[in-house]
Amino acid sequence: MTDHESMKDRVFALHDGELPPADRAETERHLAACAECRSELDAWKRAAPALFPSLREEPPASFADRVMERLEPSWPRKSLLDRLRAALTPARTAFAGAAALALGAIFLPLESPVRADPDAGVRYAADVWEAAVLETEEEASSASAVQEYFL
Amino acid sequence: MEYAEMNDTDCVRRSLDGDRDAYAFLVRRHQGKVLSLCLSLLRVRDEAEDAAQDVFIKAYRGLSGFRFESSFSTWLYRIAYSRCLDLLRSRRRRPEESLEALTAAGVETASAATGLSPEERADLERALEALRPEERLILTLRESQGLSYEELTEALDISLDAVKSRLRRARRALQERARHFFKGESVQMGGGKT
Repeated sequence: MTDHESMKDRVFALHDGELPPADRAETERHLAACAECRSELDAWKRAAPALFPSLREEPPASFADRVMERLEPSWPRKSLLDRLRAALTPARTAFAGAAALALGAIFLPLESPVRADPDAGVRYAADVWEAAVLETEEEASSASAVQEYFL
Repeated sequence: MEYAEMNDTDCVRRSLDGDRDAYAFLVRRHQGKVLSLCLSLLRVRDEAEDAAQDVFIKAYRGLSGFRFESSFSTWLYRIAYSRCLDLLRSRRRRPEESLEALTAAGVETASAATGLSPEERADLERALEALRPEERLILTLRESQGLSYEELTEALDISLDAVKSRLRRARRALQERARHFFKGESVQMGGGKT
């Protein structure tokens, strides 16, 4: 590459804003003195906006939907459990828990014999809990007896 | 957490876990830039839109190969460059269609306020169309998308020296092919030769 060719590269690097600061002054002096480089750069500045317009286009509203439709067959089918897990953020889980408790307090007493009693729901839940604990203890005790028998 | 609060990496991970909506969100987040890039390179709206869709399809299918070493956008745009390069290459094999596309859309979409005569612009468009796709790509990324040399190294996955050299070759090739325009300028404005 001749010195002048190399200088042309610097002229374009200057135009691109990519010339190291140390080379700028010399290149600017050359550009001021060299009609050929000036004319080449001027021609480029005229041509570039026509050839490389800055096209900023927003896709139609349906763009993403169409992409997702095309992807649909390859999308893995999620199990019900996975979908439930994805849907249950901590806040949603807390809300679901509170809702379940409230529904329990309302509907569980329907099966209890003391339906008219306003505290029946709470007592009924406590009874159910106690029965479950006793059952677990009995099971544990039988398991331990079976274990002792075989050992 | 809402998708809008998530970065691309989180959305990619969610997509890999089968979260369809996370990928739809990624598409919406990047669709404008991908389409603009395809349009800058291909210059034909319908073709660009199809190409942009293909980019997102291909990206999803290759998502398991995404290594999280570069940003998702860089990876996505690389897929876009590659898709557009393929289309430009096939267009070069069908020059009649290409010229048709230029007259239908390319010349008209070019800015009308450039001060070029229709003949000059057509001359330049023909020269651009005759460039190698790689040359056209680097010029478009630099001139239309405004990528810095450093960004070009990342986008094209080549060294800084390779960027400078490819850019130089591309500009010279264009100047050579549109000699009439550049030489005319030279004579008119500076009196020297190109």
